[in-house]
Amino acid sequence: MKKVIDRRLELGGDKPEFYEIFARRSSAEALTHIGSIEAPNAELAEARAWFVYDHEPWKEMCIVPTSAIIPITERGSDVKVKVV
Amino acid sequence: MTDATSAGRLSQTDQLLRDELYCIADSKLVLAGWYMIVLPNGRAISDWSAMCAMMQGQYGHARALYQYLGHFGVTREEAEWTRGAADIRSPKLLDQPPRSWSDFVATIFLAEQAISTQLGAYRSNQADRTLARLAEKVHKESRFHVSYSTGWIKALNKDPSSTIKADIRRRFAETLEWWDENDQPDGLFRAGYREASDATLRKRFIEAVEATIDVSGPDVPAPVSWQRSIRRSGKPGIPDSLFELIRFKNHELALP
Repeated sequence: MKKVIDRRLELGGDKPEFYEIFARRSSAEALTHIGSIEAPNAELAEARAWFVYDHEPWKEMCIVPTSAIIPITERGSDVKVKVV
Repeated sequence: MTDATSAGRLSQTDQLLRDELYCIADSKLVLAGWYMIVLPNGRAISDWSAMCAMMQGQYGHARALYQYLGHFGVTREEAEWTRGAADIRSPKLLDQPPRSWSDFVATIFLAEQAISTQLGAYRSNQADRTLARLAEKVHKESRFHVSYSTGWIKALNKDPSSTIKADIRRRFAETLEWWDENDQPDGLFRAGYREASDATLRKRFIEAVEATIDVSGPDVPAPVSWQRSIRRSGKPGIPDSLFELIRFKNHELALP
């Protein structure tokens, strides 16, 4: 049986909203894109990002709403922010 | 209650500090139990991860605080293993299990805010820098717990049929019982352990809650027979049914 996801109940929002996560382990490193997370608002995105991407003791982490990213080379296509 | 065996040798301020830290640590122990029991109801995989991490965080904070109680002669055995339901000093807020996901979110939001508000007041204390650093670390880590529940409240509140407002209002009255409304002398504030009095911290807690959701309503009556040592009114301790769920089960498994 195919699992049916109730978006509002399970994820807290009617439509998918994503946040891109950037982090670095030390001040010598550049901020690097480490992944993305789905959340209906910034508070839940912050907590989910912090708890899900906890495989490193990050010195710095920040999130950016995917909708705020303006594509340049990928304009008009299905934009994907790639994890380095 | 099985108070620290060395209570007779402690100064009045040390007794107050021991009691308040017991209340905070026990709140974290019971809250960790809440996360553990509710975990299978986590909505998305990211919620599972978040709840596992918050549970682990609360257990870690509770144990660090219990360890600190060694300053007052409290042993690990006493703090973590041998106390009974009548000895646990968590807030009344956590006595009754959640009725729904919305009620769970409301309760963890209020509990995390209350505990963070109270422990946060120890961060700048000059009387004991070890305690100040511990409070700072716990406060910093708890920020994400508050973000988690705040995010869910905002998400649930968008749905007109959600019960989140009613759940918060009902639990809010129970949370306020953690502070005495009557202006009792506050020895820990006067001794410089906390940078704010209980009355100020109660006000800060209300402001922090209102920054997320409107909880204005009829005044909550001041609790009768409030006791500072357990930060609640009435009989000490938690319900036996709750204790059975959260109690430490196998002493021998914890030993190296």
